[in-house]
Amino acid sequence: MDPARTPLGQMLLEEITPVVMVLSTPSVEETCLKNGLSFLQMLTPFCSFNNIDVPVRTASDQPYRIHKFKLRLFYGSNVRKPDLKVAEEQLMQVITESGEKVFSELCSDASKVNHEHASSEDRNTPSWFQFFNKELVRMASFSDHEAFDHPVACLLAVSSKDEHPVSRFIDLFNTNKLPSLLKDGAMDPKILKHYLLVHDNQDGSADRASKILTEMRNTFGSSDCVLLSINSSLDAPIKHQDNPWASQICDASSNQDLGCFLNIDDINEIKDLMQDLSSKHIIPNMEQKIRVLNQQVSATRKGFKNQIKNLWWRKGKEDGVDSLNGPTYNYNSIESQIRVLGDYAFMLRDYELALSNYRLISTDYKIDKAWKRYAGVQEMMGLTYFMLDQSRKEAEYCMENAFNTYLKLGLLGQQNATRCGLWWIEMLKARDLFKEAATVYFRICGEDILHSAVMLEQASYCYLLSKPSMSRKYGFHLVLSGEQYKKCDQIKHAIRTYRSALTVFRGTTWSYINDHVHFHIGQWYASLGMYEVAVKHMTEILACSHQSKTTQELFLSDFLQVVEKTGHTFEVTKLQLPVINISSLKVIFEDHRTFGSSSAVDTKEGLWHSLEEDMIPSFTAAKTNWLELQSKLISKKHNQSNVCVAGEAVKVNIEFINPLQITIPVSGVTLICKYSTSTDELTSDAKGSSVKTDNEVDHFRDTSSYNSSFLVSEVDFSLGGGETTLVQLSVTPKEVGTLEILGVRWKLSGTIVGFHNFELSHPKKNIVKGRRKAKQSPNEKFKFMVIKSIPKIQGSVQSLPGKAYAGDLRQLMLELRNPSEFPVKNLKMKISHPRFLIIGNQENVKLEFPGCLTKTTDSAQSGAHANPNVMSETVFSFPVDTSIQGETPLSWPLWFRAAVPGDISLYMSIYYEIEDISSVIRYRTLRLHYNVQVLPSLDVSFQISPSRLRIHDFLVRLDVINKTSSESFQVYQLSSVGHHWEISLLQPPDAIFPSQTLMAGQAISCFFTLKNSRRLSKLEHNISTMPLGSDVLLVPQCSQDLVYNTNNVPLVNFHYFERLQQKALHEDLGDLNTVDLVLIYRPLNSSISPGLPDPPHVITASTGPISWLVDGPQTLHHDFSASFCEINLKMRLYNSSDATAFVHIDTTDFDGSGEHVNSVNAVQSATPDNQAGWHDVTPVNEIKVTPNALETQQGKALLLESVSPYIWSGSSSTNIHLEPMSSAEIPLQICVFSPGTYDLSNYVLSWKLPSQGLGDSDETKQHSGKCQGYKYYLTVLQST
Amino acid sequence: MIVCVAVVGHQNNPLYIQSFTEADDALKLHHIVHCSLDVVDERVNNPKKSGPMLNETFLGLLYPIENYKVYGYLTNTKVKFILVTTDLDVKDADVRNTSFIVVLNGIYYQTSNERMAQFELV
Repeated sequence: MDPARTPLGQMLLEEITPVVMVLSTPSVEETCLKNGLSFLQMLTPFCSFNNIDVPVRTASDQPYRIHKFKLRLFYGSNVRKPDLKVAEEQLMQVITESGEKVFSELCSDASKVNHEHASSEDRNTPSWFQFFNKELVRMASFSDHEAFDHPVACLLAVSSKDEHPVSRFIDLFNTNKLPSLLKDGAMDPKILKHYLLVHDNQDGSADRASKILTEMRNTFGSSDCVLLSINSSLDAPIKHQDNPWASQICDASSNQDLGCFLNIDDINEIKDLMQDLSSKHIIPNMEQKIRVLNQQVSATRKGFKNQIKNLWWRKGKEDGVDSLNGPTYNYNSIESQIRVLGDYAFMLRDYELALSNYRLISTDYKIDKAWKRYAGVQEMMGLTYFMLDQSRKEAEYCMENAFNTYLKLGLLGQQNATRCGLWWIEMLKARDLFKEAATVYFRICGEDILHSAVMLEQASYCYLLSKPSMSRKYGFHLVLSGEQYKKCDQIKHAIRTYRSALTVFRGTTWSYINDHVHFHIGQWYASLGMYEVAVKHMTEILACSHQSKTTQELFLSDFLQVVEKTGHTFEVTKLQLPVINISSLKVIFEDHRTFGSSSAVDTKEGLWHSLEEDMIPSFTAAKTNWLELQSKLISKKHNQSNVCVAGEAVKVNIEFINPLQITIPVSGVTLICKYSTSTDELTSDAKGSSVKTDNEVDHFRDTSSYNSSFLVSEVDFSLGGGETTLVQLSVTPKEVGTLEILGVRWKLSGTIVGFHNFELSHPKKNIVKGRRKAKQSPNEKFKFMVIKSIPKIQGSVQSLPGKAYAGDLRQLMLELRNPSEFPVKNLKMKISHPRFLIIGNQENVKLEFPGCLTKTTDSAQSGAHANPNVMSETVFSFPVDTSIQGETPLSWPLWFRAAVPGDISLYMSIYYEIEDISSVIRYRTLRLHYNVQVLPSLDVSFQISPSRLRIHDFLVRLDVINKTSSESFQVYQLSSVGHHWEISLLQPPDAIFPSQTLMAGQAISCFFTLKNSRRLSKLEHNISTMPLGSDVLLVPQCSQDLVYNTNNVPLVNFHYFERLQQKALHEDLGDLNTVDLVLIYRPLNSSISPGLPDPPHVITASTGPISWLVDGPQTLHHDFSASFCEINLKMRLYNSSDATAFVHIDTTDFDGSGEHVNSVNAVQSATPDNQAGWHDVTPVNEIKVTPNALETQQGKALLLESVSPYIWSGSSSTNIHLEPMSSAEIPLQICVFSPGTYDLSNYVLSWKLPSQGLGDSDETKQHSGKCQGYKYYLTVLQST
Repeated sequence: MIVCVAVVGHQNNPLYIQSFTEADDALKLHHIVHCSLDVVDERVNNPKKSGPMLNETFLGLLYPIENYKVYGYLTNTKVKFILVTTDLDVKDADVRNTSFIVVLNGIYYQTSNERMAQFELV
């Protein structure tokens, strides 16, 4: 790469060029001012020559050509070190102006806080940096330690109007007025002078001027005197197409008038003048000077001898002057001359020569400790290396060395250090070492905050440009620089840098930084009075849950302040505070489905659907009805949109979350809705129209539309730190049409209005009750077709307990109201859990509970009971004449029984039809949902075993355990259901319940005998012949009056459902030998549950249809010495089934196997604990209900004793047919050979029933069985 | 003194930043840690430069800034541990051998209670 083409090269070629000092008289200036220019300004555009092609020969003999050249013109008064303060101010102005300019650009697109635009433009470094840097570099100009700013020539200009022009020339170059550089001896005052006579053509002809010129030529020599006539354009001002002066004077207003009197001839004349000056005077002059100096330097310094001498001489000088700046060097000192030689060579692009001289002088200065000069030379060496494109390392080393040396000088070297740094940076940049450049920028940052701000900003761009780009450092330095800008009140710059930094941090999770940046941008915008933008930035940080509480408070209070300053309620589309949990969004509306409570709403639609299946007319039928009736009104489109009824609220549940730790007040939370009267509108238009405009309009519309077509609810609440609140909002349409819910709006702290658009966040919508069309667009879900008002029944179940003990029986009341004027008809109801809840009769309303359950009550309604057909029909239809209207509610009794412990959800659905045929909705359902917690109360278990004493008798053991924690119960009554069972106590109740109560945790057992009173098959059940003894009171002193009738209304119904339930569990139901027992008990302190609990039913069976009894002696005396003993036994058989049974009895002799064939009967399977007192309680000890385990043990024990076996001596196998409900007797005989105790269970009884006909529901019924004989012990003693 | 320890996820998201100074310099440390990720990225993406460090998890001195030195440690799962210290004349080897282990242990114990939840995100 050609170094001259790099930015640094360009800069050097422009900045390190020969200086021409211009001295002019006031009249010259006056002449030029006619053109709006000063004399210097007029000449300046023509000072750079791009194609001059001058041969140059410096120290070497080989000439080379210079094509580009530039002169720098300065008025004599300006040839001095710039005043620091003025320069600073100028710099400040540069910054401020550029700040304004860039900021206004920024603001133009700030209106749309468009975050995307940032990427491309911002990567280009702002152009004003270059200008600023140039100004900074110029601050260090005209220093006495370097020679390239020293004027190489002086241009003296006198007007032809001036009196005595020649003497004026002499006056101008008066040593007293000369700049200090020339006066103090820092540079040679004998410089090239060029005399210029300026003639204004408007003042008349050039005669006088040429006369003066001749005079001048005589005085100063002919070659150095020139005449310049300007303002040749006499009348018409000239408009220059591309005005050469435009770039110099930034004041844009007078741009057109610049040089208005200068015609093309004038301009050409100026051009020629300057070209002549440079190529014919300045360059040759410099060449000559270089040669002269070079000779001198060679003579004094080159060569070994000179070097030794120089070294020795400098050593000696060392302990001389030791000022901070080192010794002062006069212009004719050899050091200065070398430096001048180097600089001249540099300016004439003889870099080799320059470098050798710089090197030469560098060591001298170092030894002399002339640090500033040393640094200056090092700096130039670096630049020369760069221009030579040699040894990059060397170049950078020199620059760094110079920079460090300048820095060491402190204030003195400040400007130079900056300049050196900037050049160094450019050098690094030219080599793509942006990262290194950035660190240099960082080092330039000195005391001056403003400068360091600019430097930091430039450093940040370096990071961005470096490869790979370091965007984080870019952001960081922008933030740093922004902070510095802020410190010097350059707010606009600060905003700019922060905004650029935002592009880095946006989208990252570095929220602390993000918050900081947004917050400050907001603050700064606010300080500029741009509140709208400020608010936009501040809203970004409101939901800063990660910040500390104080910071949150600060953010919020600042934000509210800014909002307040805007002076109106501010509206923000995506206010982060409070956060809306969109996934919690739920739209609840009632079309043909209405809900009694919110919990009913939450229940799954499928559950309701299955419940209502039987009640509602089939869907297709309904649809055809619709289409027939409403085909004109309802297009297919509408079938898909939701339907709601005018006057009935559509509710929306939304969760608001406060992410902060501080409390925020939220008020005026309402839905944003759109209403249109036409029902067809939503099909055609509105789709294409942009959502945005819609919303824009609607924000404002909703305030005005309160009165007309819909009503929205307003909610105020205050969210504590970290709280989440579920808010229910509602909108009630008043007229038929289309209603659309667009979003929600709320007011934060009463000043700022936030919106949330539902449409914008479609993906996870949770519409609960919407018809689940798969392809419903999100918008559709919030669109409702409002139909005209139809009746809506409200209903509730009165006094349903939330908590009940298992078995608790209560009477409840269902209340239905119809507030509307229109009648409804065809009411139906279905209940999900008939075990828990059944529907009573209208007459029950008047009944007193629980008295109505006792037997004394009028048996009138007991006749209406127990119609299983009614019960099996799960849908209950209210009587046809039932009408609900107006204020008076319809009450309907319900019976509740807590069947099993646990948490039970009861669902009820009430169906009704609307009499108004023209309505879109023909029917509606009211859905009620209640939760009941059922606690365990009594644990009841029964065991039934056949009695071995009487063939129709069974022994019932009842075990009751009170499972509650504190409740006491009174076990009141045990009843058997059905008519062929008699039950009686074995002991008086006093013996069982001495305290009459069952305390918490107490367990009790009692025994009953159960008698099968069923006689030979009477197929016509006579209900009126109610057998006595089917109920047993367990409370001693109660009269028979208070016996509860288990055949009464609710009990029998619950019994039915209980059976249904158990049927599913037990197969052998339907066997005739099952008995259902009902235990009635009641809580002692009836304050808890006044009703009487109904126990779990226990359905039991005997050993099958065949029961038998072995009858015979228990103890015998026999003289075995005489003979063996023959014993006759009888077996009585009874068939309790409806069919003739075939019974086969096999006696097997004792074979020692002891095999136990367990029949399928259910009784034995229940294994009770071998409780003490079991045998004592039973008065008849033949009844052996022994556990299986015990039985086998005993068998084994007998074996071990090696009891001599007995022999069945009768017929070993007997077959008989047993008629239904009849009994038979079979003789049995055994032979015993020795005294002992014998177990006569060695027989097997098998029975068989003829298989039932097809279509019988009891397919699973047991048709045959095999039973092992039960133990029967016979003791034979030796008779004496 | 170690001023700050940070754990940064593989997507350069901050998982945990803990400063050990009394001063309110959380933001500054956030910036420093954030910036040093540039250097981490550079080292990870330019294995040539790191040369023998290719398979090293210890990234060494990342970033000298102002009065701090920043050291990095990269796990196989691209989770970065960043350590900011004020010891300006500390040696790399020291940091490598002791500081990180000590600090990471420190974090482990310190965070075993409530902070562990955050760590599980790693």
